[in-house]
Amino acid sequence: MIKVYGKSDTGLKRNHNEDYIGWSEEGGLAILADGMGGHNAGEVASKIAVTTIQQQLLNSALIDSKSEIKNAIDRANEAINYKAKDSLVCAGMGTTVVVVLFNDSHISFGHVGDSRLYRLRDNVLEQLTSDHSLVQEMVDEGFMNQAEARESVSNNVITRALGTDSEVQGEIQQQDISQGDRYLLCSDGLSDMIESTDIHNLMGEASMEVAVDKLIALANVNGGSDNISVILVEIV
Amino acid sequence: MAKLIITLNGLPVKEYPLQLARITIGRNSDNDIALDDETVSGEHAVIQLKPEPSITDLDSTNGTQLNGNNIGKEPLTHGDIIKIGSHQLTFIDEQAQDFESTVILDSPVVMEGEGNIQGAIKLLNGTKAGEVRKIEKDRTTLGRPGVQAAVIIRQAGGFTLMAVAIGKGEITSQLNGKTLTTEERQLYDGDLIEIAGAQLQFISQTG
Repeated sequence: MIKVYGKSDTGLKRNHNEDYIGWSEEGGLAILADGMGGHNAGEVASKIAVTTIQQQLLNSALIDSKSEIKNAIDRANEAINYKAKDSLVCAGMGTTVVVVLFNDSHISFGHVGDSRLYRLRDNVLEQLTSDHSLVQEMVDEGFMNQAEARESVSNNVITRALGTDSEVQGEIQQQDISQGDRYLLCSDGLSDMIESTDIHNLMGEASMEVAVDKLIALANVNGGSDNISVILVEIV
Repeated sequence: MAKLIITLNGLPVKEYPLQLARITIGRNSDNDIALDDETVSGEHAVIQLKPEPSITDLDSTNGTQLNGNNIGKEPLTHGDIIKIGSHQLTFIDEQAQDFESTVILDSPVVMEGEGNIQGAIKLLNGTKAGEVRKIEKDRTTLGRPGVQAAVIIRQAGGFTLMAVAIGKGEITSQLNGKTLTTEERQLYDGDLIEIAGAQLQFISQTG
């Protein structure tokens, strides 16, 4: 069983929210997407991503969670790509996504772009996804460290997105779970604005609602330069 | 810079960068944007960029539509759709797009075979001066860890170069003597790159 609480905030600098979040406690599912594209098209892309993946996963047998997630991501990619080609205003739109499926013994998760999944277990914070971004590639090649990547003005360049091409390669992984684990899905509006030590401290707040509200509040205190979305999940 | 994306029956015809202060649109060939379209008047409409971008219909026979409405003169904002005859023109104002908004680096579609543009980097100074390294990957990092970084990006039509900021560090890398930015710049054969003390030359050839 899981308990979920999530929120999406416009932040302080943008005039609209291009993130979209969704979850189902019964279905053991949480999804977060951060859209991009001119003329509000980002909102269209992130909403298609979340609703398509949600529908796909809630209606599947879930025999093989990893391939179900891959299929759902592929299906969402097709839907966004089709819409982008269909409408000039939506041309070039895309979105990141992170999706997590919770079973009795493990989680399966997939991501595209720089939306992230963190795990807090036994007071240890671990980032389970690696951003598909230019600065992450530079970190992997040893050109900079994580803190420098977070502070770089180049951290807005992502190397994979849902919907911009006819095919997408989602990165799908699996991990075991343990009672009391907490999982955090977030957009870069959170992870670019606050340090991982703050994510660690606030994720551990007794109340999940307080944790989510404090994470968003701190991202806004630090500038709130992008939309901020957070979904917190606890294994109960 | 602002531009127009011109489409006919939903298919892209061309992109027109708005470099002039005043751009005329019509069927006659002396217009800045000449549309070969019988439903377009000889002198149909004019776009002015100053003081603010606007479009004016020049009493054309079939009129000018802006986002579905017939207009005389109206201001233009990013994403507006202009209809002139059978042609559609979308006004894109890149400055109106968020500066910090996410950029997607698409994987290029590079066709195998002849006619491909090959790129290489020649080292001009240091102990390995004279060495030539072929660019094999979609993205190739240049620079010195913790000091300066830039990336060469393989595109369908060639190669681009952009600086990547390390933390809050200043970008000092140069292309042909000009400081790079985090915007992509097209690379041409013979271009000189200076990064963290290393001098490099970009070489390209069609192979």
